[in-house]
Amino acid sequence: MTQQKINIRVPVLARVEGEGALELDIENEKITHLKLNIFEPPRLFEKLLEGRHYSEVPDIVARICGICPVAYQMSAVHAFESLFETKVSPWVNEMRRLFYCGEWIESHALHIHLLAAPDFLGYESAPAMAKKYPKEVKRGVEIQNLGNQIVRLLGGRSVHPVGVKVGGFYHAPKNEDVALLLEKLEKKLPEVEEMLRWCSTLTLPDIEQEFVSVSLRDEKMYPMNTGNVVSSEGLNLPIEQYQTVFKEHHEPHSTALFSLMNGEPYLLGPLARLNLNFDRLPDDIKTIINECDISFPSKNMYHSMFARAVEIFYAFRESIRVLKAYAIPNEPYAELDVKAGVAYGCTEAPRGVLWHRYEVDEEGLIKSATITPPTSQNQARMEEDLRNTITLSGLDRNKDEIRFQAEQLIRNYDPCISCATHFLDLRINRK
Amino acid sequence: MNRVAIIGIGSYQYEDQLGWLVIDELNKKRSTARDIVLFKSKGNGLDWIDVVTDAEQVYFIDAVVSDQKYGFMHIFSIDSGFDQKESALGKSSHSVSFIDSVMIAHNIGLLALPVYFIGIEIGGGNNNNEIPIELMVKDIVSLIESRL
Repeated sequence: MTQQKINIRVPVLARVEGEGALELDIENEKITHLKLNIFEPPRLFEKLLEGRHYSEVPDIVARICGICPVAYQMSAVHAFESLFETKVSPWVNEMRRLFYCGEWIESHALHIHLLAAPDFLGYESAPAMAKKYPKEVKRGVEIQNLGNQIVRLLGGRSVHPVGVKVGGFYHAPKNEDVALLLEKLEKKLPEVEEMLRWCSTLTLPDIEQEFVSVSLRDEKMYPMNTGNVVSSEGLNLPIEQYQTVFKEHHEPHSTALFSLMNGEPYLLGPLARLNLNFDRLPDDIKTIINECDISFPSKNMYHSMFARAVEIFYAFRESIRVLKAYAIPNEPYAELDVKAGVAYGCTEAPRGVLWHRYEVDEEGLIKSATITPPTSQNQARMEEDLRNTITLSGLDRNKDEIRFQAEQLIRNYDPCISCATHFLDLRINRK
Repeated sequence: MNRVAIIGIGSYQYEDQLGWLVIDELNKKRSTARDIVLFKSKGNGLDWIDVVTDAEQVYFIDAVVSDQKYGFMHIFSIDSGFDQKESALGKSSHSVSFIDSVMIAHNIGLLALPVYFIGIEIGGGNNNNEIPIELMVKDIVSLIESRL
């Protein structure tokens, strides 16, 4: 049947922290209108920070996200420490890596098992999938829980942790708590490898497309807390120069700012990180990936889920490494010498590059703040991907197929936990 | 061991923090006669899973948006035949992610049903007769205490 005109409207995406909508018009087998609106409520965090002391910032910005508060805290503390020329101890750096591993594990495990996997296994919901795949879902929930426990170890609690301060941490975990967590992680590690291999067996759409990957790149390690901003087109930029290339702008259909790199959309997140940092993985993890028959860099956006699984496995291994070498330090933080100036911080949130900029006065008060989160940066890429993928797959398909593909595609970006969970309660009007 | 888990679901926004406030209040009054575990959840995912494992009774407290009057108290037990579409839970301010999580936890064997849900209406009609949130918290705490 030839469809002359299809209008898809999702006026309000339910179950989101923030609000969003999808508008898609197809006329005579051409997309004539496509807008993905991710409405972040007017939370005004940047303005809220003005006049606050720098020491308050880590706890305030943690409230921006319930899933990736660590990322917000880490970008903030790195920014101030860079401005204040603070030299933190190797212990602090290692604990920050551990802290970040916890967040990647919990965020990625949640997405794979409860949000994305039902799409690839043919279930309309995670509960329905859990009935048929209890072992896999239980394993995923337990992996996620261990990620939460890592965050709790250093942050005091897993959601909006409070253990971070500029210069390090308020306290060092007790040896017995570290030993207990290490034992749990080591015991679970074989199952994490199983999970990685299981993800590679899922039937994913085989659609390749051109896109630009952007991530941090550290001199030695797989990037979390440090590195320059790099791209698959050869960009290599100190984080202080981020705004010379990446420009935010307002689109009328979204309250979240769009961001473009030299005027073009770009991809952040696990697939982009792995595309640009595959060589930073340990050789035995590369071997497992090769055995799974998925290659990086990849142009298949649906390999994002496998990339998340790789990062979970890597983060587990990193966590075990850090915990094995754990020793209580003399001080869990460095002393600070407050200076006025502009502070820059940039780290790898689970969903990608999270860039912070603060103007600070001589008393350490915030004069202005700019926070560029990954989900808004991926917004233009998601629209581009929707247009490419739906077109490549054929616009003469029925509306249910197109609707499912749009839902699956957006969830694949893991834009946030709530909106990734069957976020499209679509009303479709055909004319 | 007669273990009870009480999970308050909330956020930092207005009445939506009701579940957390109930936990705060219960924390102040908590009885040592029973093994009661209190937990504040954001209602996303299964962040409460550690708390409910092995619990004999589980209560979830949340704010609800439906067509009931502001302040109306919703009380359900959630069992394996629970029909979300027919209940106010389908309109909980944390909505499907919460009930999905309950059913997932049950389906993978980490949560025995039934569990109990207590919600207070914070949306819907008749906001002209608003009830202070402190009073709603007090009502829920009294109800829970009477059940323990």
